[in-house]
Amino acid sequence: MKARWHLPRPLIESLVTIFIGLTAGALLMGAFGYSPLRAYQALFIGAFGTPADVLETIAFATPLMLTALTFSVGIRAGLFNIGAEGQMYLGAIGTTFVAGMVSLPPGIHIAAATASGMLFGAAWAMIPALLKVWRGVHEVISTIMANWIAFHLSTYLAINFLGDPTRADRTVPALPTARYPVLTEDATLTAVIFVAIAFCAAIYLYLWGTRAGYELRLGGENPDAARYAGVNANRVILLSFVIGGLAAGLAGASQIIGRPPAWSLYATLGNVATLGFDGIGVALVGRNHPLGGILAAFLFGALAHGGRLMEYQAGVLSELVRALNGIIVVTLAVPEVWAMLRRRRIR
Amino acid sequence: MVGREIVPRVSRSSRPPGDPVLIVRNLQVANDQGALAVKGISFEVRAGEIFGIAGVEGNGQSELVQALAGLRPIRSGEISLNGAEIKHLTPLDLYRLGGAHIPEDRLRFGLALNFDLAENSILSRQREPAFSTRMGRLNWNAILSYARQLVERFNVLAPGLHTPVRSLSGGNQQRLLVGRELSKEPVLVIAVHPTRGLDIASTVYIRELLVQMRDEGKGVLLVSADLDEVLEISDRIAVMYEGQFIGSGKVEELSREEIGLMMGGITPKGRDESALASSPTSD
Repeated sequence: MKARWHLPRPLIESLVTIFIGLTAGALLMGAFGYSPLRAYQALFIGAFGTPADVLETIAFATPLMLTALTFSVGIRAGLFNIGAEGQMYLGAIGTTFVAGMVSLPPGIHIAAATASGMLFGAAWAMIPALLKVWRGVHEVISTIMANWIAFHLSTYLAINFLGDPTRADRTVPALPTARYPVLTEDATLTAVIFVAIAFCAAIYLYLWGTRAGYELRLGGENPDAARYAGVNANRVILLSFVIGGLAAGLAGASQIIGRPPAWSLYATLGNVATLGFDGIGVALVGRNHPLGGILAAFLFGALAHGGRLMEYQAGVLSELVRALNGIIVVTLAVPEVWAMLRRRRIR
Repeated sequence: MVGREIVPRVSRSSRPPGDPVLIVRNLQVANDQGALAVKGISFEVRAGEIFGIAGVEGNGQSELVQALAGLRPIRSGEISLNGAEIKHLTPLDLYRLGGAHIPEDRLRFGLALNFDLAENSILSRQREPAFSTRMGRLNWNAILSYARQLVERFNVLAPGLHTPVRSLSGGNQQRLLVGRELSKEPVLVIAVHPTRGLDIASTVYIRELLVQMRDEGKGVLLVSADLDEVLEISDRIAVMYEGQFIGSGKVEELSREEIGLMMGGITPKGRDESALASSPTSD
């Protein structure tokens, strides 16, 4: 396959909006009497100050690049799949079950626990996909509803079937044979990052290097032209939801068997909650491109990890840290939202 | 407007047409609202002829073509393409049986504007073994060399093969689309408003290509709201009015005025009564 670089222009747009977002954040901090310079310095040092911080930033980025992929593949197929959150919960459940309650030889156990999470995620994604194919239910409605069902179902399963008898607040921990190796002592980054990046890269090659990927993108780009080209619209829906579910399931798995120290799912789902929704912002910043999503996930990982030090050192209240995150997301999302609106208007 | 004499007339075929490549019998097609838009039409397109359908837009031409292209279900009737009787025609059936389709609205059906030139060059051909393997891998080397060939052969002006088709001019978009369809080596070309909105150079060029197809022994079904275009390159003409053919004949036998009147639903006396059986009469 020839290198097909269509990134540069979107990359420049994204960089410009990151700059605008940071400026707007600085104004906001200034308005509340904080020193933006000190805050950003702390943010940067917090995210990249030491090698361990860089690794921690990447650890934060790992699930985000995957949930971003869920949204991106949906958009490429012309669908708003905002069900990454629920698909990720089920992925975490599927992984917890195989990792914590099934004994398997090393190596195979990691693979099986990962695959189980991905399959649970994909299975959960099939509900809105089939509702769309059979009944024409709009995927935004069904995925939002499925997210809530997934939340309560996962909590129920975590407490009643996967609970750790010695600790009421979490599920049984993954057996050591099912844990991804931790890369260094001073960060929570594990080898699962390689699986995440490989999965994003594989989906990139799939979308741009195969006929099915071409047809999926054509279906999203111009449904009438897709029909003209003999593309089966239902196949596009199912395929995009399966890929998205696998990615979200892997994101859930990564937080169970790829993230110390818990190696388990909290009964509140606290160690996975919101990662799916955050992925939507990451996807927009990454311009709905699997590889752009990796870069954007690093940025969001840096905000998440560096934001802790910013709060601690520059005294910026945690609410303001979140507002800052929000401003940057909104600003970053402008070019993509603008492009989407323009595409709609033209059609 | 530019006078029509600027568009040079293309030469007419001297050879007699061959066997029918498209046979349509009593075709009925509904529109989006479920009302009958094509009310029992029968015709043939033969190899080596251009069969032109004239008419004011909105008289069922779009529905007729969409049915023939597999984009709209037929209510009743028969379609036989290149000798094969098709019950439920799909776009892939059309292409498999040697049909090519230059659609009415190139931006809606024929091209994906944010896809690049190379990607658009295989739109509707993406399943052909030349462009994707049995395992479903796209053969980018073949696609790029094919796209390059299209650009050269059909004079598509574009900065590069990775240019989004959105940024090409209308004429170049249509050259790409027409080139892609004609390079399928079809036996039947369905061309709808093939030169609408184009510059004169592209218009002349595309009409010449259709005539060249005819001369190579392909059947061409031309549907156009541009009467000049239909008169200029068709061998036989039918006029469509309210879902039916109100009149038809060889192009030499019909005058411009007659066709113009028929387009308005006014039938001349004493002509081809069978075709006019249920058409509204004028006073």
